[in-house]
Amino acid sequence: METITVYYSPLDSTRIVEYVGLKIAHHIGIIYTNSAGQSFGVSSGPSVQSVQQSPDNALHAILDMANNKPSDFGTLVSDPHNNTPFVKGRMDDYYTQDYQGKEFPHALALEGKDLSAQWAIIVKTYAAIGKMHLTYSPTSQNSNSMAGEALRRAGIPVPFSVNAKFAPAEFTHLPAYECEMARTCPTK
Amino acid sequence: MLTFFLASALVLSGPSAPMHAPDSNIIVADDVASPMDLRKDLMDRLMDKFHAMNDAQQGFFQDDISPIIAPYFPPGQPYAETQKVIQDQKLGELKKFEGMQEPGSTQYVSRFSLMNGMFSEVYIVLNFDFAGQTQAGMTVKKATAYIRGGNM
Repeated sequence: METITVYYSPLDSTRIVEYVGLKIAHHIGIIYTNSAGQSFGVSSGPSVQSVQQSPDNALHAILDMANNKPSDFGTLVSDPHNNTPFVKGRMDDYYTQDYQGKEFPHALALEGKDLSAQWAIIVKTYAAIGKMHLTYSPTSQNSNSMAGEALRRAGIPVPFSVNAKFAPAEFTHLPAYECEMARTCPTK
Repeated sequence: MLTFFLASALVLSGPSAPMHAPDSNIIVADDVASPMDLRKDLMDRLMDKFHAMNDAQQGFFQDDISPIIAPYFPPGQPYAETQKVIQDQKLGELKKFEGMQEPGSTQYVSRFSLMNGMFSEVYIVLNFDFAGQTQAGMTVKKATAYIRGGNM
């Protein structure tokens, strides 16, 4: 059997949000494991890691989205290592475990005999969105949005189960092509 | 002794330096390179890498930076010496790696932050393959390092 699984890596720096009643925020990575036991992952993130981060520049990032210009965090970019095979649990596996080798929380998104077609759509969507130079906004248009969009385009519901974790903006819809941005795509 | 070793290792950590034990021909007096100087040198190299990646706007996911770190931890270095370098240079804390083990190795890791933002972080992971089973008898077989980013 093949699986597509969503892994949630906790972002320690967001522990402060626990004080206002929210849970620690997570980053979503999507992992496909084929019938041969090979695993492949996709991830995304901000193009710039601004040293100065504050509620102010997070707010400005939301405003920047209106004009689709890079925020202080830059644009939303795809991991250049996407879809490279890796071995789960090895030291260089940064998708499914922390630096100590402790597995991240995860939720099974889909299981089936052959999920290669769905995976191809996910990989293609990550590559396409990564080329769109969309504003990165940590709270409203981020890597979780890309994960959610890729899953939906592959016909896979975004996990919303007891195993799912707080992943801000995972339900934000993103354009993957210029015509979608301009709303000029030919209708099917 | 440790200072001498670190200073020698740093001299060898340039772009064309081979990753092996320090050259015995390189002699740096103890008072030339203090642990603070060495830390500054290391952090400068890591921040140079950080800024280069930031300027390239490629994002922070996982990049191999072993050539920057490995000269501090040459093959044959005893576990206690490795631990001392990590403590002196504030490079985190050695912890047993709990994931998939390489056959014939005992694996330890350490982690320290380069940048901690409100919404993201950039950190360094040090990976050690030790020969031997007990801390008293273990020596470094291979040291690797990654720069990783965390974000929403």
